[in-house]
Formats: sequence, structure tokens, C-alpha cells
Amino acid sequence: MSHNHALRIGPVSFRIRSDWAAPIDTLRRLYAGYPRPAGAFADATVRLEANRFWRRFIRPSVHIGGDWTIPDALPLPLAQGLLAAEMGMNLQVALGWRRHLLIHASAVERDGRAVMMIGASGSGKSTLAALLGEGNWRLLGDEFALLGLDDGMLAPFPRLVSLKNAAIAEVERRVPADRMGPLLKGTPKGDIRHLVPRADAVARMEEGARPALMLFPEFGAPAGVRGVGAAEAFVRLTESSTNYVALGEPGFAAMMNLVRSVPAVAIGYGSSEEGMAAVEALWAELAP
Amino acid sequence: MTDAALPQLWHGPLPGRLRLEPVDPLVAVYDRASGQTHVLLAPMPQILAVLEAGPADIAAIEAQLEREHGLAPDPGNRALLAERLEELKVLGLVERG
Amino acid sequence: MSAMRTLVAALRDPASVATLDRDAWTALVSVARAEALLATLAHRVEGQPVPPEVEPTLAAARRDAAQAQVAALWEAEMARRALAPLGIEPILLKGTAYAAAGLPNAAGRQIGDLDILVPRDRLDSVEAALLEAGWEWVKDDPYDQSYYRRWMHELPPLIHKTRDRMIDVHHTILPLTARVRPDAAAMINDAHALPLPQSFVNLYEPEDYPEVPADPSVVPPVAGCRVLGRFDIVHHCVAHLMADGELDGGLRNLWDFHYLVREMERRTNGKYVKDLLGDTGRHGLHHPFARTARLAHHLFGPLMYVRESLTLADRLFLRRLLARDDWGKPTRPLTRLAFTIRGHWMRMPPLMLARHLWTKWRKR
Repeated sequence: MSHNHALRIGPVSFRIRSDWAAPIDTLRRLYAGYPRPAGAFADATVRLEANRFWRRFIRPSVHIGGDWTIPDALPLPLAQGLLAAEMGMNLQVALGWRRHLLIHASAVERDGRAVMMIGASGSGKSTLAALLGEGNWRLLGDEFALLGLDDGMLAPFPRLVSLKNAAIAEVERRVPADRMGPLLKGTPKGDIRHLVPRADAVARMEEGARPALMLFPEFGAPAGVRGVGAAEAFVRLTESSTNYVALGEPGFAAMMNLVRSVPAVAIGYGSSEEGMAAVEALWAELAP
Repeated sequence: MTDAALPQLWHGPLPGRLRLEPVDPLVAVYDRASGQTHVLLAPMPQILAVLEAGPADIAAIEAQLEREHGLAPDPGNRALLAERLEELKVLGLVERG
Repeated sequence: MSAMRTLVAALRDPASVATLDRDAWTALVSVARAEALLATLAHRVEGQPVPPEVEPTLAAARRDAAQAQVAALWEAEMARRALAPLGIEPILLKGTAYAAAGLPNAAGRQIGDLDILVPRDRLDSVEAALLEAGWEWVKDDPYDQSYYRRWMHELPPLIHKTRDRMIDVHHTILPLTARVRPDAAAMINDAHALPLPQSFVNLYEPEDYPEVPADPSVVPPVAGCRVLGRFDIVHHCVAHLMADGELDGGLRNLWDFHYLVREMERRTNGKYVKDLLGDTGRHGLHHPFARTARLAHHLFGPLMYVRESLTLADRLFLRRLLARDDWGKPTRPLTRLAFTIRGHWMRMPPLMLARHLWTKWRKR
């Protein structure tokens, strides 16, 4: 007995199969507004599996499978099935996507132009993007920025936003309950709750944006703003890309173009309000 | 003269192999032969430029660099140059032969 | 038809994809990816009617494989540079060899690690030169190290510390304890220097009909390295596929065999296959060769001089090769287990196997 779902997020069409109903039911509910894969063709496959038949029922643990997998990855308990699905989807894109340059960044759009917030987990990029996306910005994505190789435009990839620990409460109070996923306690990264992007982010997922500002946010660092030169930006961006090397010269050219045409700034901030204010101020100054 | 007495020549990349993009103060280099990207600081790009004209031994490279960049000749230059050439060799950008 | 069968059909007869619906394409892409055959498939079906939603995936796969080949050939070049001072020209094996030599199955061939063959009596200096040039051991464990050195046909795996790519250094094409013992010295002796001359056929035998010259613009040759001789290159493919045991990635290896031999058959009006069959005895590979040929014949299409019908054992191999469901998941666990055991069995005499498994179990 298996359960499936198929959906499209931006340019990526996924199919997900699960040995259990629960993760699929949750995915269906949270991604209810999302379109089906274009032409019914899905080119990213995720499988949530028990590794022994009896493990479907006894202490069920979810192994993440798919076209692309991490060997020896630890399974998750069934209660965190949604997280397993999201991780599986992440993996297919991070390891397999070649049609855009992938940058580990969140992005929000206004007036056809975008701010990219580049950083690893803990830098605050997801939280900032989520909060900005509830205001007068459109959320493009919280995990991956997809940069077009030919046109330098960002393609939206509005997945469920993964909020961790303290960020959960911050966002929770600003959005209706039906846009929040289940609270997942005790995951490898602490408590996690997923946020469904606002309706406009979903409806406009085929509308790209031109990057106009790059931020390197550092949550918890002393408040401040520092210009980041093109050379430093180039190095940090290539390090933050999972497919830069695989793309070869077109990737090099796209990255070069980005750092030469878009200003970059590192910001330290202590609270979301500070961070959001910094974004607005820098946007007004550098991308008027 | 035995082989050992002949100076070793350094060979740079063939024309068309490297794509160089300056991003001040560095030079980003895409190496088409390997698919690798390197970010080089002076004097690496300058050394590669010298070798563009053809293989050269370390004395000739040193002399050329001093000429082109107005460096005062200094005994320390040779040792530094040797180090940089070894680094370029590890990156696969130059060969010794 | 299952996705694996669809994949076989598509490789065998690219025009067959015209009848596939979107769901079938989804499954096909998934299993092809799992079998490391997506780019090969993408090359085979180029020019066939493909739905517009699917084409970008295939195009991306072709580009990706081409870029990956650049990196793989670079590894070969760096190995060449490291070994040149020792006067050793490494013999490239498997995917890197096909790509470096511009052989017909190079297009879309996905390549993993670098595999090279060097003379056994030079192993110590090869090891030292590679370590000097920046490679380091993947397995530090002294038991694993000694196991590899005593019983396997390769050095323990090495990985380059900055480029993060692996190299497997072989001194023969099968483990020392395997029941089949190819003549490694002869193979090394007969290896050809790269680049192969303009006409692949003429390289091997001037009298052969020079029907179609190899296309030298397909892949840049890696001068200074070598590849195995005209028959040995196929013998190695067979040895790797059949005698290594586990059959992981077996479908791709079988396709390599088929496409390579079919092309040579075509270019020489069948003469190549006849001579190849005659040559299998030299390395004790007659039975593995025959099985490989029967399976290739059954899946991918007729080869001259090959008996068509499968034996009972052949059917087990077939089961293992096609053991994947339409979502890409490996299936048939008992068959897989049987082949894992077979893999160990073939590599080691029974007493060794028991001791090895005991030691591994104790270390858990």
C-alpha cells in the first residue's frame, strides 16, 4: 500500500511516494493551492520508505529515498514525516537541478526586483524572508534562489518555509493557523514548523524577478552594515551553491555577472525588526 | 652539459584554456580544461601572463616580472616565485618540464 | 511495461519512445537516473519526438554528463602528471577510458571515480607518487588497508585532498583470489597509447574494412595515457560486470558491452566479434563472456555468433539487472542478497570469506 502526491513548485515538478498516509495527507493539505506538474511529467522523485516491511508498523521510521540520496542518512520518526518529505525534495533539487544556478539563499520581490539573503542555517535568512513575505514583499523562496543562466533572473521556488525554534513564535502570531504546518519537536535541528507561503507567492510562482540587492545576514552579530566587494561576494556565493561546479562555464559566467551587477552588503542584527528595517533602508539606498 | 644542468622550463596553459575575469583585487579564473574555478591574487595572474608567451625557466620569469612591474631585484624574489609556481602546479595551471 | 523494460527498449530502439505518455516518461527518467543511464538515454533519443515538458530534463542531462566528463578526464590528466616522472603511463579503465579514447559509448557516459591500471611491481612507487601529489587514503582502518592489499586487485581507495575526487589504482582486472585469473601482464603490454589514430578500426587491424572512422572531435584525447587493447577493453568490461559479483550498475555495464561490440561489429562486417570470441580463452573469461553476450543479446538486440536462449542462471542475472520499480527503488531483496553473497564468494576463497565476515562483524 503506498500513497502519492505530485505537485509543481516554480520550475520543479515533484512526485512523492510514501509507505504511510500521514505525510502525504499533510503535504496535500499544506500544498493545496499549488499546481500539478506541467504536462503531468515530474522530474524529481522522492520516496519515503520503511527499510523493512515490519517497520511500517512497529516504531515506524522514515528513510528518505529518491533519484538522489545521501548514503547512510539517518531516518526520521514517522511523526516528522513532513520534514522527511521536505528534506527529500530539497535533496533532489540541491543535488540534481541543473537548469538554474542554485544559491543557498532566500529571496523576496517588490516591483519586479529582488533581494537575495545568502547564508547557511542559523543566519536568519528564512525567518527574515518569511516576515518580509507577510508584508509588502512577495516571497520567492526561503531555501534556494534559482538564478537563470541565460537571463540572470531569479525563478521563484516558493516551498514551505522552514521555521526553527524561536522563529516559530515570531511568525505564528502573524499568520492564520491554516497556513502553519504541524509543530515538529525534537528534530535534529530542534523544533520546526513549516509556513505555507502567502497566496500571492503561490499564484505568481511563474513570475521571475531581477536581483537588485544581495545581503549576507548574520543574526546575533553586532548591529552594523558592511559593503561586500564583488570578489568576496563571488567566493561566498560559489561556496553557497550546490551546483556551481557541475554547471561549468555558464555557471561561472552567471555568477560573475551577478556579482558585477548587484550590490552586496553584510548586515549584523539582533532582532527581526532590526533586520527588516535594515532591508528596507538598504533597498531604498541601493536599489531605488 | 648533462640533463640535470639544463634549467627546468615552466609551461603555462595553452591559449584559450583559461577565462580570466578581474574582480578587484582578485582575478577569477575559469579553467576550461578542468572545469575548476580559481580565485587568484597577485602575482599569480602576472606569472601566468608571463608564461603566455611560451615556456620559461624561473630566472627568466623573475626577470620579466621585475621588468614589467618595476620590482627591485631582490634575492628573496626567487624563493617567493618558486613557491608561487609550486602552488600553480598543484592547481594544475602550470607544468614543469 | 515496467520502467526498466521501457529503458531497455528505449536504448535498444530509440524510436520506441514515441508511444510513451507523461507518466511513462516520469518513470523512465527516474529509473534511468538510478541506473546512471539518463544522459546515455538522452543521447540515444535525441531527434525522437519527446514531449516539450521532458526535453529540458534530457538536454540538462546531456550537458551535465559532458561537463562531468571534462572533470573526469582532468583527473586522468592529473594522475598522468603525477606518474610521468616514474616513466609510467597509466592505463585508463572503464568510463574514463571510453571518454578519453572517443569510443562510441562515450556520449552521455556518466563517469564516477578514476580507475587506472598499473604494473603490479610498480605499485609501491605509484602509491608514493600519488600521495606526494595530494591524494590521501579513504579507508584508514588497518584491517581494510591490509585486506585490500592482500586480496583485492587494487590499492585501497584514494581521494584527492583538494579536488575531492577518488582514484582506484588496479594492478589486475580481477581480485587475486577470484577463480578467473586474467593475464594482467599481457593486458598491460598490449595497451594502446592515446590518442587513438583517426580511424579506430585501422588502429586495430589495417586490413579491416575502414567503414567509419572514429570522430576525433567527440572528446579531447588524453595524450600520455593508455587504454586497453581492442579485445582487452571488452574483456575488462565483461570481467567488471560478471566476475565482480554484485551487479550494481550492471545494466549500464551491459549497455557498454553491447554498444561497443555492436559498433565494432558494424565497422568490421562482423570480423571483430569472431576474433573477440576467439580471444576470450586467453584470460579464462569464456564463460563470463558468453553469459554477458547472451544477456546483451536478449535485452539489446542480436550479436553475431551468439546463441540466443538464456539459461536458468542467466534469468537470475536478468532479475538482478532489472530489479528496480517504477519509482526507482531497488527491489527483489533476496535476489540482491544472493548476488552480494556471490560477490564475496567470487572474490575470496571460502575460508577467507568466513574470516573476513567474522572480522567485519566483530568490528560493528
